[in-house]
Amino acid sequence: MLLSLVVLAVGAASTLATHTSNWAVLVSTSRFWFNYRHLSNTLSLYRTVKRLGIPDSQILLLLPDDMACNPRNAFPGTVYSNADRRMDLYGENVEVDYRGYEVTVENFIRLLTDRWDEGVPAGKRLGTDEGSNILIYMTGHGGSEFLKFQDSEEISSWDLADAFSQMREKKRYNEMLFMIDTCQANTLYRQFYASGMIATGSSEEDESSYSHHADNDVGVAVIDRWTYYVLDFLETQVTGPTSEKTLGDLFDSYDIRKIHSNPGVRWDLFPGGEAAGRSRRVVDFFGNVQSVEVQGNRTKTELWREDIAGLRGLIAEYEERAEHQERNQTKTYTVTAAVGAKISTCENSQTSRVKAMNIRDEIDWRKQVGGITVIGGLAAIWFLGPMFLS
Amino acid sequence: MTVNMPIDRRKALVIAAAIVGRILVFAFFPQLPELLTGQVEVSTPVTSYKRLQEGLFLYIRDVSPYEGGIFHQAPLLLPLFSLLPGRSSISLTTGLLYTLMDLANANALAKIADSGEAVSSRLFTSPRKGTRLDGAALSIAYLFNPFTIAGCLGRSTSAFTNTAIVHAVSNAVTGSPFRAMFALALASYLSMYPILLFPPLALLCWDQAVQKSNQKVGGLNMGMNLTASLFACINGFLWLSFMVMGGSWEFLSATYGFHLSVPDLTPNVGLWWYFFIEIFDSFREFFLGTFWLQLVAYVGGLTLRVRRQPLFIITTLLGLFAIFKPYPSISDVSLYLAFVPLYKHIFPLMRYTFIATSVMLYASLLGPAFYHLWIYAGSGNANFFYAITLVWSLGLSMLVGDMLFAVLRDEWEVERPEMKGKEIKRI
Repeated sequence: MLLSLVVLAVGAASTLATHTSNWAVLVSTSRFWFNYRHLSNTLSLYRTVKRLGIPDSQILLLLPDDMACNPRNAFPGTVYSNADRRMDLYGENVEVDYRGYEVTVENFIRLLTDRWDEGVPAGKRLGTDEGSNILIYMTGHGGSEFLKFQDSEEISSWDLADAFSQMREKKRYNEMLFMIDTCQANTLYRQFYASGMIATGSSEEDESSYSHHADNDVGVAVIDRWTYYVLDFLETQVTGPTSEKTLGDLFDSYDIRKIHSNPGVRWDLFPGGEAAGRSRRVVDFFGNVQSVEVQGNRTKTELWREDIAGLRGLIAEYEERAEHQERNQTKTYTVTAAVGAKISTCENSQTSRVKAMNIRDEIDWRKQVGGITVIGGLAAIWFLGPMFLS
Repeated sequence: MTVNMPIDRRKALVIAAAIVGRILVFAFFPQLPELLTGQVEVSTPVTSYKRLQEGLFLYIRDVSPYEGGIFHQAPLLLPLFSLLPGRSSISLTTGLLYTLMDLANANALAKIADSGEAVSSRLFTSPRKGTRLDGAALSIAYLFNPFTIAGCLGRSTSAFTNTAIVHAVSNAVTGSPFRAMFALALASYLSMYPILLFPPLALLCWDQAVQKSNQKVGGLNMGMNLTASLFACINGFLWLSFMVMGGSWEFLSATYGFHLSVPDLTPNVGLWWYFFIEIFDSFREFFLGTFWLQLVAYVGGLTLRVRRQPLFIITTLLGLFAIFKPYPSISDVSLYLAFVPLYKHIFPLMRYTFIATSVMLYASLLGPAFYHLWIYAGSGNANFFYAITLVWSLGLSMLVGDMLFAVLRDEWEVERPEMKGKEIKRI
């Protein structure tokens, strides 16, 4: 508890790392042997984030099929992402959280929004808080605004958008990087509306994403193009957890001539837009926050005094933020306030004519008088009219 | 005016029997009015008594009655009904109101019959004018027509429109053009289509004016007078409604807009609902225009062709309206059948009386049965009921067309008296 306070204090004091933890959700959505490359995509990313520091307890790996132990695998117990077969992705130290038929749309959305029954173990949950940065990687077969799960169901771009918005409201992430490698991938993030997200996909609408190469002995394609070149950048440029390479560098490395489709990036949901997004480091999403304070030879009371000073700073910051919200001066609120003002004026013009409902059952005497006047007037015109007219 | 005892006694008996019959049912057999109020043949979305009750409920509680999208009838009905004590569903006062309207209709029809307009108008006298129905017989024919009784017991608000139309015609025939226009304005205000009766009604008024007065009556002058009084009355009604509704024009789209755009496709005895369910939305406006054109198109042609018998134009138009309206019911048919016996003198010239009568009887018996099979028993489908409505429209069209043929033949026999009694064919 003390250490977390210290970490918080350091976090509040420093402006470089505004997130306090890193999580990764790596999803493959295809089964069957010929979709080998989707699993190897996911496993390559898994190896990358582990290399850059995220522990297994903060990675959720969803693999719908078992390629390593597939009877058609000529190299049993292995999954390769390259025809040179120099690195086995599966081998030792793999922790798959959702396997086989557990990878469903429902489980994926429950995982994101943390809506579980009692008793679901922590290993299957995305235990993020508002300081967590999340990397979400999805791969499989998709189309315009949908992604196919296990050849039997689909998740749509709206499902994803709504799930991420729920996460935003429940403060389940600080910032999120959403990567997707499917056909027509960019359509999947088209409907996102939660803030704090950067999304990138491998191909535009009506474009397919292609596989990179096949291994003749494995017999199927082993990696997809976009993922291949992303991994290429990550392995050659982002060499360690302290790498200063930014997301801007990563997305600038996209080469359409090599990828054979138009990858896209969506910046508009990120606070600060493209400028802020490009300046984020790759390891802010792929690596793990390592906030360490060097204690030195200070006494306990000195440490406590430091804690109290840090806490005071935090309290001041929260009070200031609350005051800003009260006075409607926070940035997000100004937009909604303007919209709200417009809505309320429209409603006012409509509600001005609606009066309170009369709850008694008898008719108002004024209405009765009015009714008698109307009927009487009409009768008078009927009987007396011909005398004066015609 | 000489008091002819037997006829007066007949009339009194007729009136008494009609009143007693209806009030008895309202008082002692309230299930029958309840049943009839729910039948689709009697109550349509624009004439249903239940919807009137809904609108009344909201009106009394200071909420706009058109708010719920259920009530589509004219606003001026609301003050009238709100004044009646005991507005519950089995109240005797509404029954009395509808019975009185039936009697007023019968009275006006008797006036039309007694005026003899049907057999001899200003420009035409039928060679068969000897056989003519008198007023009391027409009242009997109207008051004891099962369709009329069903409409009265079901308390369909088209009774108001019918009363207005009948009084418009009776006042035109007896020479009160202002009252005729006032009544026509009321009818047009309540449902939209009676305004199409203006040309023949204007002709009737003019015929009467020419017959009555000694000096020359300017046709254009009178026409403009009549038009002006009609529009003044309609404007008056609309402004009254505006004030009754607490200063808003929203009732226009809920009443007339509803008639024009036909959004509610509840089954009825007409031809519109089935068709508009199955067409694609992109053709909707086109077909709305076509169907309304179908309704409107007959006025000009009939007025020009049968100009010499304006009362017959009105009769035929009423029949055509009963077939081609967006929301017809048997009250409209009862109105048409009220005018049919006026032309008793040409019944011998009609060719398809038996078939038309049988078809109408067949359809009116099977219609409710197939509706019950479709909706309640679930063993039939919409096509059963729609087929019966098609048959019903066919029967009505046969009747309307045959009467038109008979009247035209009657006119033609004045020029060719040697063809009386002989078979003729159109070439």
